[in-house]
Amino acid sequence: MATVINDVAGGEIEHVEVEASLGERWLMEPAAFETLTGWTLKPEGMCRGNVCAPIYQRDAVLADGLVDLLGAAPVIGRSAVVDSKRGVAALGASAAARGEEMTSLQAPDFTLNDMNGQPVSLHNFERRKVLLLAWSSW
Amino acid sequence: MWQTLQEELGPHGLTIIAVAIDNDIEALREWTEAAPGLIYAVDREYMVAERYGIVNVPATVWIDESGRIVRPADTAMGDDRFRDFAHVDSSVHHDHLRNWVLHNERDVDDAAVAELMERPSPELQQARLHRRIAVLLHDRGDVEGAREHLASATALAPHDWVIRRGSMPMNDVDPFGPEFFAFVGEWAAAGSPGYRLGTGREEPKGPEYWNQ
Repeated sequence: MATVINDVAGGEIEHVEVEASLGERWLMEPAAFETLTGWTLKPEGMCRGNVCAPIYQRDAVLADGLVDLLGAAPVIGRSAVVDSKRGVAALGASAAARGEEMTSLQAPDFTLNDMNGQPVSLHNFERRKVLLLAWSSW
Repeated sequence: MWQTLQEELGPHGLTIIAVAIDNDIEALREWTEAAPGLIYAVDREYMVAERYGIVNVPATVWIDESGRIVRPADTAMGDDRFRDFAHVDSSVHHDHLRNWVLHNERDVDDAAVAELMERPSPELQQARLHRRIAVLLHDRGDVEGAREHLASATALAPHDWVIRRGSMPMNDVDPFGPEFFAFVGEWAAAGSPGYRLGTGREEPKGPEYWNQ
């Protein structure tokens, strides 16, 4: 088993255990890739709903019928870092998607834990003015 | 001071959410216990930092009653204890905040907000993913693995304070030690990226100042 730190829609982080074949590359069965990302490998490319993204660099994306996570990420509009040696990967938004979200000026909702492990969400403070104060111990 | 501002402006509709861009919850407690009147949240994975374009702390983002960002990430000090170091007069930001909460007046308009949002480069997104992996490995006790990914993150985003300085505790580096001052010198030499609004900044400091 391997772990993918997945930034899911809504901006929360999930640690997902996945089946992967780890060597030089991080390879996954198409079904496991679909469970992780929501994208299905089809003859026309990577598909989700009615949208299919063509695969131009097949060698980077596919190997013996398996999906290369690092190579497939840009096809589905995500960014990825993989550490096959340690069995940990991170899957996030592409820079372009993040930039677009920011330019919309819509404040993205988030849910984080407080100091006691209780969830705090931005949407708890609707109809208030919110000062988001970023700070740290360092 | 933030707690005082919360007490002053809370009845007028302001909520301060103090989001720690930090993976070390225990290290945060001395601060939260000193100001127990604020709402705290811990962003171990740098998701809020990523989505709001926060590249240094302390920084603020203003969100209005309809959920719109009306002032982008901007360095803002709670008080003047770092004034000799950071050269920021904290009261300027506090006065802007009062004007917004009490009178709905802002010092930046929507066009400027959109312009000033720190849209990430592909390299910065990659750096954030490396850092996320480093935190997981560090949690698992794999200090060496964490270091490798922090080094990759630093190489990809050398001027991002939350990546660069925020990684120092995990690397057993003093965030107020010589490595930090070397970093600040590098950052200043690159034109102080990320300080675009610079509210209350008294005079810009060049690399000569930081390398003294």
